[in-house]
Amino acid sequence: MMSRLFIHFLTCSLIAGFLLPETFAQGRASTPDTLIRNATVLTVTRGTLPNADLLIRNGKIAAVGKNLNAGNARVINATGKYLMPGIVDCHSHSMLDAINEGSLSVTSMTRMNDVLNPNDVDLYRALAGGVTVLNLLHGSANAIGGQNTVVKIKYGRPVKEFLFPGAMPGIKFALGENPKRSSFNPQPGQQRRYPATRMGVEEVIREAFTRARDYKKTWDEYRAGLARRDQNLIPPRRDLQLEPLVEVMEGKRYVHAHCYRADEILMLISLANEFGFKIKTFQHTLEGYKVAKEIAQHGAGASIFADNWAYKIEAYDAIPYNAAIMTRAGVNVSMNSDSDERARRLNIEAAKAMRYGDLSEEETLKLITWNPAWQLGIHDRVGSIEVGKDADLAIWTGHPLSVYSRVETTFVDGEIFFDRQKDLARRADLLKERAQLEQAEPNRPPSGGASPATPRRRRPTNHDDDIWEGEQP
Amino acid sequence: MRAGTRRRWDQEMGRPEAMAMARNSEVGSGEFAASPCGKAASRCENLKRDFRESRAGVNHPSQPARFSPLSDSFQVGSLPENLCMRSSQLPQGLTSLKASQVEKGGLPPLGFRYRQFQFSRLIRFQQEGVAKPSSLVFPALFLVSLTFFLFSSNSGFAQQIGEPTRQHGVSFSRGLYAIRNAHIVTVSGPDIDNGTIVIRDGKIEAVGAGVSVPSGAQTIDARGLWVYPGMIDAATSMGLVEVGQGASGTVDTAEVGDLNPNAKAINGINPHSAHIAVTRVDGVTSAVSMPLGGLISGQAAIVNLVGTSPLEMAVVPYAALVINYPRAGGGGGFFVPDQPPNLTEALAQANRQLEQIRKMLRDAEVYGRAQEAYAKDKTLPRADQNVLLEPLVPYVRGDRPVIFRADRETDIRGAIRFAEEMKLKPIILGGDDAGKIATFLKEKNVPVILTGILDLPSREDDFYDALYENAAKLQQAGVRFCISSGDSGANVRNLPFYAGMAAAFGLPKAEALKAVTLYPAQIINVVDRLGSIEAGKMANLVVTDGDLLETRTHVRHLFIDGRQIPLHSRHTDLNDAFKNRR
Repeated sequence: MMSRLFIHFLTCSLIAGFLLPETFAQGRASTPDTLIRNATVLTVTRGTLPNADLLIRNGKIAAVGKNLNAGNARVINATGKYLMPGIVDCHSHSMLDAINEGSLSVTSMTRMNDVLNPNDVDLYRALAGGVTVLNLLHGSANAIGGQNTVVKIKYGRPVKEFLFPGAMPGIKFALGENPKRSSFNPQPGQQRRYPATRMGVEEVIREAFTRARDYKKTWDEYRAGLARRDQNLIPPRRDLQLEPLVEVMEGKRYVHAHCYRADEILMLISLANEFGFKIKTFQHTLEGYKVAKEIAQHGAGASIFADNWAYKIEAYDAIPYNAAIMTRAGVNVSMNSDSDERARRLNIEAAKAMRYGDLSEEETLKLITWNPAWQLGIHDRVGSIEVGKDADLAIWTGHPLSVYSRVETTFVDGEIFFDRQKDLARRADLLKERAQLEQAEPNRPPSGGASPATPRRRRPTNHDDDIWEGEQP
Repeated sequence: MRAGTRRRWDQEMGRPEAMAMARNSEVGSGEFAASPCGKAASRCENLKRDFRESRAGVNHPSQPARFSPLSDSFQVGSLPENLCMRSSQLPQGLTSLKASQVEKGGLPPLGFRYRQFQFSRLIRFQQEGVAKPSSLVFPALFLVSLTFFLFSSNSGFAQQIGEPTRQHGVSFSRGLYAIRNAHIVTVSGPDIDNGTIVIRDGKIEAVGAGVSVPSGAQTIDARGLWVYPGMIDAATSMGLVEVGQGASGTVDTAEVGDLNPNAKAINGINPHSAHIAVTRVDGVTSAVSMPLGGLISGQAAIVNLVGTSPLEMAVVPYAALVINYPRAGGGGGFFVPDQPPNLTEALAQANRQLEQIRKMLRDAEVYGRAQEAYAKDKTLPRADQNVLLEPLVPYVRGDRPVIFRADRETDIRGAIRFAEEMKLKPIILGGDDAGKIATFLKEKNVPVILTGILDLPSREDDFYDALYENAAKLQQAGVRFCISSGDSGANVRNLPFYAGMAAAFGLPKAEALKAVTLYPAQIINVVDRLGSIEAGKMANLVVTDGDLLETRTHVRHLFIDGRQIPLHSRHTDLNDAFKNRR
């Protein structure tokens, strides 16, 4: 009987396989093997290997060393160039059609998964900066925000291919000025949303976790009853808002908490300890240097800006030595962008930690590779150049921490998603195409009648925080 | 007071904990070798400031004005350098004073009359400008002990966060300095290996390989180091805003209304803004600070990033008029409507705004002629002074430049056309599309201040490096340009990285360096004083341990206007306060 079932299973899957050609047509089998030859390889975790080769097979790093045999792999000559792991950006709002569900203070039921837009051109620009993985977060409008998504930037592919397989789920918290909406005035007639103070922010989180704790107990009791085969059990009503918080308490969901001031960092640590969970990362945490030892004791990571400051009151004490002070206190620190613009040059942002605080080159490279990978729970797959890891890589014209370097090629899972030479070669054709489109009949202005509307500007690139542009038009 | 003598002073006063603090806070780089007070003597600096201010300000009636507001040079710091005196000069009786006596505010056992006498000697010193060290001992001791009493706390010398940091009230004095054995990057000429620069009275007196060091000069051994001219950011709002969001009291960038030619940045700059020191310690020594908003935003000022008053900072107080060139779809003002207006409407509105500017400039021109005519012939009717039109007269006559903020090709062309029509001297600010019309800009000989190197390209189909390579395109076409951060103040220190990115995308490295030194000086007409290391120019110098534009480089010494500036800022102070917290 088992073998008949087995044969059934085989047949069905074969049929399914034929009916769904995508499952065979794409994926690792179509990625050509690649040998990157004679580069200076910055492994991040195992030092720098000058004049080394790297072999990519089936989307993974198959071998690293000198004078590797290419076999039938295509060869990319990287003499004089540098090879480093793809940059992991731990705080991004790229490719999101919505960022803040700002109508409630606790929106743990909302998911960034539901608003992914793979057509965001800034994804390509990030690839051109050597970024391969993004942590797409909910905004900071709410004390407890929505669920995040970790993606690999496979620009041009369907959305489902972006999702990072097996990444630990996470959720966004926010403390300080943003969730208390200190700079926003309610519409006339509207009441201001709770909370309006940091006291209220604490209360919102506490209240949510208190409810979540009770919810968890209810479900635990129900499951215990099932296990005992109790009769006439009624399952408790599901609460999609509280379930992610239960996952947090059970250690199955990471908390990424946006925070600035030292006191609110301590507040959240204390609250988390009380409910028995750990904060995985403090985001921005511009005053983290003031409480570095407490953050290290808690075991949280910190994901920060290099040197942004003074754009808000709570950012006024920010210093560019933040990364160095926290690193030396034992905190896992990553540099993030929180901006489509900065995401293109995270190498420069990281390098500032050598200027301010004298971090070593290896510590500095870790800020944008291994450390954020650890913060997202994906460090077994990405974040360094080691045999067996995903081939998420970038080839640079010079040392990535130099201001004069730029990216030549970016690989995600062994496939090239950005190649500067190909980009340059296409430009003439693209310009011609644009000129043709401008002359095409549907795009010409109408000869009479109402004049056309000025096209709406495309969605402005999101800055969650940080930039005060003043009155510039 | 030298750091070493400070220690002996503490030792003699019996304050071991203060000694320990002073030791901890000393940096080994010797950057304070030339400073009158050691690094740990913030109270000393406060003293000097208090004393100076108590002398009824700089323009004390009994002494001639040390500077005139519209001149470039000033002389502050009439206090004796050795107010914090050497302990070797202490009379014997004082060395036995117990620490407890001092902490309680105990005064040296001196008679009131004697103290008065010493004070009056001190005052006379200030007026006569003659150094009489020994006469300062007792009043200085009084003041110092008073300060200890007032400011002593458990943490001794630890900087209080919130306490004004020492650079806010201090005027650094000009002196005679020599930087020796340096690799000098003059920018205007070839590099000088192993050269010497002599700084005197705020200027570069001599620069070269064989320059001799005058006697009495404080020397800085710059072996293994580089010297560059201080960087200049030609488009900021430095000092006009402290915290943009949430502290509107500190925001002085944009006045109400569209036409504000009389809004002068020099009247809004806060010389005690924390942004200033934060910026200069990374090598940006001067900036153009400009108002924002409206159509005619106001008048920009060129300032050095040092000084206790805006006029002390000013290099050129009224340097350029700033106009936001009206554009269709964005408007000259700051309101972007939710509903996109229809194109004809938007164009009409832009034309109306341009007409407003045109009318005001024409009125100013007529006003100028009327005032001149009246000045020559008093029988003519006298026109009242007009606060709005008066400041516009030099600009409409082409005596001073007009900065047009314009990014798109149509706006740049429109601005240049308008400037030709009104006979203005235009500078384009922004210039995102400038690379596309480089030949046109070269033909019209209009310079461009590029602020968008690190912006995202505005159109979805723009190539990913369209703005990165803008500078290279202009340089190849021979267009005059410079690179600016375009930042209001907090991030101006990143100016070298804007130039560095341009260099990564085609701009030769030497040009990238010029784009933040010589070229901005040329474009804003201060190249006779700034922008390169040449004899006769203002001594704005940055000594580094590497390439000025590189990420890993540290600034080791800093001179602005021939004054040695300590490398402290709000950020270094906070770093010092927290880096050893365990």
